[in-house]
Amino acid sequence: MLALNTRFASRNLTTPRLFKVLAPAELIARGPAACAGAADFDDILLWLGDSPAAQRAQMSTLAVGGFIDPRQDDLPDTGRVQLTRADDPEVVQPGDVIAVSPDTPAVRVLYRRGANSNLLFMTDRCNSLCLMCSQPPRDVDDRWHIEENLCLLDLVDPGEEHLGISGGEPTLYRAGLLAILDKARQVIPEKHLHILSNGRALADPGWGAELARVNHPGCTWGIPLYADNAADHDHVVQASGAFSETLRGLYALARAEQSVEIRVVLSRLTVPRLPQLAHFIFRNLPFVRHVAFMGLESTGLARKHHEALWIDPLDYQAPLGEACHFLDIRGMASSLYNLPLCVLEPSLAPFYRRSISDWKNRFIDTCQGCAATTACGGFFKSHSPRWESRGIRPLKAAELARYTGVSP
Amino acid sequence: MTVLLATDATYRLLPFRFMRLDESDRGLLLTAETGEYLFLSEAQLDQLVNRRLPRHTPLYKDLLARHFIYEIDGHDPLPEMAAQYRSRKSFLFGGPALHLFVVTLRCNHTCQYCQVSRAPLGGSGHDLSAEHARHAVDRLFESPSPVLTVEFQGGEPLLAFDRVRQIVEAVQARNSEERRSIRFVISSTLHHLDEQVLDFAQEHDIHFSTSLDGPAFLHDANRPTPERDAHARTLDGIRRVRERLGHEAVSALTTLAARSLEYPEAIIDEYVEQQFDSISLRPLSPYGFAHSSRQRLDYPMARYVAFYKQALAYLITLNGQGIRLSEGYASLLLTHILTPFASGYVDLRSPAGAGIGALVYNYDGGVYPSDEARMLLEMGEAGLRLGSVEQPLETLLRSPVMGLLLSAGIAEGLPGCADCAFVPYCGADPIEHYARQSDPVGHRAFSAFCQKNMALLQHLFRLLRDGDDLTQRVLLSWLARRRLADLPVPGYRG
Amino acid sequence: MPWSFTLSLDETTYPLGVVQRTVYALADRLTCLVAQQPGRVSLEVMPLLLAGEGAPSAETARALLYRNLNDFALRERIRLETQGLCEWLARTALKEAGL
Repeated sequence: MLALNTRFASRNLTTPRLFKVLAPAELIARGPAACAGAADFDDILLWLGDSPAAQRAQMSTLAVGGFIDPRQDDLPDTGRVQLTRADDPEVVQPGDVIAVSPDTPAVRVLYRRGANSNLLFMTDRCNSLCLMCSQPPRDVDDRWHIEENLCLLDLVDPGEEHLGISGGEPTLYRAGLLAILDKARQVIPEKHLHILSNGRALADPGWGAELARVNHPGCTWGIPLYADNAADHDHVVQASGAFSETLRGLYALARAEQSVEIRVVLSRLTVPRLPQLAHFIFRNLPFVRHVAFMGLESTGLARKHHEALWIDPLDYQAPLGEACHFLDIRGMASSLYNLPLCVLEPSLAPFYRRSISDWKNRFIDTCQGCAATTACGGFFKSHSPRWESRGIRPLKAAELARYTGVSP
Repeated sequence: MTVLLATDATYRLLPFRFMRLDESDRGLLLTAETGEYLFLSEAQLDQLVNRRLPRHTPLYKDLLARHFIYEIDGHDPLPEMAAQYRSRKSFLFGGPALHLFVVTLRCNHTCQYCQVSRAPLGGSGHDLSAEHARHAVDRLFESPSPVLTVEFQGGEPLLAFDRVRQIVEAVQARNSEERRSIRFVISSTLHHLDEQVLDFAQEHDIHFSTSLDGPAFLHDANRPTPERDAHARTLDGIRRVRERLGHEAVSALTTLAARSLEYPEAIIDEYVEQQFDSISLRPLSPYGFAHSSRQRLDYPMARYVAFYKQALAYLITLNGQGIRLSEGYASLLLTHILTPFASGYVDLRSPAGAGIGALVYNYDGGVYPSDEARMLLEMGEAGLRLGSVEQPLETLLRSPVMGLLLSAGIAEGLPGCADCAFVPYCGADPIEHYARQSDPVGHRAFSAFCQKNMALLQHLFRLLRDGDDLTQRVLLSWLARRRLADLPVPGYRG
Repeated sequence: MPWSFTLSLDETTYPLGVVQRTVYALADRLTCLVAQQPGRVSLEVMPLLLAGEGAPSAETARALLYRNLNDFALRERIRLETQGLCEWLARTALKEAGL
């Protein structure tokens, strides 16, 4: 639940740029090879946070891009970049890639070592306006994200992990997204990319051929579909014609042999026809690898639409069960995210996943003494009482066993 | 006749068919071109076609989502309808995938319902020659299908085992370049297994299919051998194959003579006893048993249907008790009803699977579009021969026989079928109609093929509509090929 | 003596094609002679001789006929309203596959 940005005091910072933060041991052992792609010593910010005073003076002579110490501010000025005295000293850690600028003390963590949900942010723009949008769009030209992400790809850790690509709507910068996929294929082919998109632009001719040309070995598209009919889907996303466009986009992805996942946010608007939606997906989109059913995040635009969206999860366990079991029996995988375990119908336990991203979990006072806190996804940071199920209660070990199948 | 054109309504009809199951308020079955279905009442159908269906109701949305109606100036459903249609007809894209090699007509049985195996055990006058076999392998690889099944038939194929060996080795050799996915199956009584056969089968991963008509009294009565021990020797053969090649290496099917129809439970119990996980309860085909036997063996299709319903109920009960045994024909009908996928079964397709889905290389070097077609040959009917195994596949499939079969082989265009709500799940069988009615089109009202499929489909639809949770779970376990215990909840019933 | 009766049908409500399909569907139970007059189609109906004891009564036959006539008339209406869509669907579906 750690924030992705904080403020530092800086010296000698003349241009906006990215840095890889490395602790001394790793710098010595690996140098720029700690990064997945093309990097040199100038891209490295040496982490002095845990170093004793004697070493600090010594290290300040090293030929790296700069130095970072979130707590102290006692480094000799060697003309290299220095970041010191963070508002929150925990935010930036060794292994992270950060974005800094002379125009602001804000430091953004673009990549966090060890996180289960690093994300390449593409744009704040979107061509939909979902009633429950957690990242309300802004109509700005923010193409600069593309260049930033291309640089980021060089500085991330090598090795297997899942990287998200999101926004806004990532496909709005077609050339940029394709360039990122292409570079990812070259520099970090072992990382699985998960692109969150409404798919509406993908029906445009050329996307398919371009995706086939890039031919990234491990990329999945997460595409929301909220109903089995245009009226209901278009209402949720507040865009007329969106259902048709998304379906055409889905078929374009299938023709380009892309891996596709459908995402459904569970709300009062989507729950009534959830089983029917499962039926629609199975009949019309049998190439879909996985369906993700997600609890509602009460942030962004959702707050304005509480009455239209809020439904107590206790009240939709039946249609949710019908949908998940329907798909499972027919060989289509499904998963449940962002729901507290105590409101889950036990037969749905096989589909339950703890969390979609680890920076969102928290628990509330009612959860005191619950035996399931390591199995449960908890709540969003944005959680508030009017988005709280009447069924929240601490589970005893015996009750937890009903879900995990493991005796206490 | 005045036709109400929908100029002022908000929705238009998509092509669909309907059938009356009963007078209940879900008594009308509607089926769309995609194969999707809904149960409606008379009143709802009336509202639907007269444009009085209120928008934004669940029924309206169901009809939209399942492609019975579409909205003018609304979403264009053609891409997804085309996707489903293409998926249902995907068997068209591969070419013939099932290749039957009739290696001999010799057999030690004199099964009551068989006509092809009257050839004496000694002598090779009714054996497939080595040269014809070589040509047949060439024909096999002229099919573009990436997945191929090579099935050995007879008579008793193991009596011509050298030919079987030659063909398997030739296919494997050629496949090292072709790289298709190839399955080998031998249809056999299993009475002539020896170590040589088992060794070879193990080496080449060959599976066996055998006839098990039920307990000994039924099996031996249907399938007499000189020693009168057909049942015992078949069970012994099953045991030997399983020991050597694994439990899954042999499957069995029943052929039901008139007497068999009195014993649905006994037949099923035999399969449970022999630990099969699938049983295929198929009725007699009208091919070639001697006229004198017809009286004794044959039966009206209605009797078979009654037997089948009883058998199915018994199977569902047994499955509920933890016994894993599915019925083969029900499983494939369920695939047709509940999924947009083709089942691959050549005998229930439109366009019919004869020739374009399956080919038979007969012992005499002739090529036939189905096993039944070459059986008709033994009845004196040579009219369905495509040509000689020495001719290229392209020539064989351009034979006038194929034209005859295909012109009668598209159910959507046949009288009776064209209007039938079951046409998305059924097929055309011009060869069966040719055999029974001397006309490949056939008259649907007198068609045993139609009677069978219609009755079984109606029965399954009623079970899907009205059946309890256990029934749903059992049927779905067959569809999904999973254990009942893995499906604790039936899920949305659609 | 087997029963028989004649129906005289208005051709606009029950065109010849609809009547023929009805007769075809009931051919295992009824024998029908179809004749056309201006604006009307007449149907002379008898039980199917081959059906023997299983043949329907005149009352049942009448009910069967009207039900089926109405159903086939509805099918014809649906066919007219959706004319061409089946062929368009098949062509689209199979064309994309390169056939």
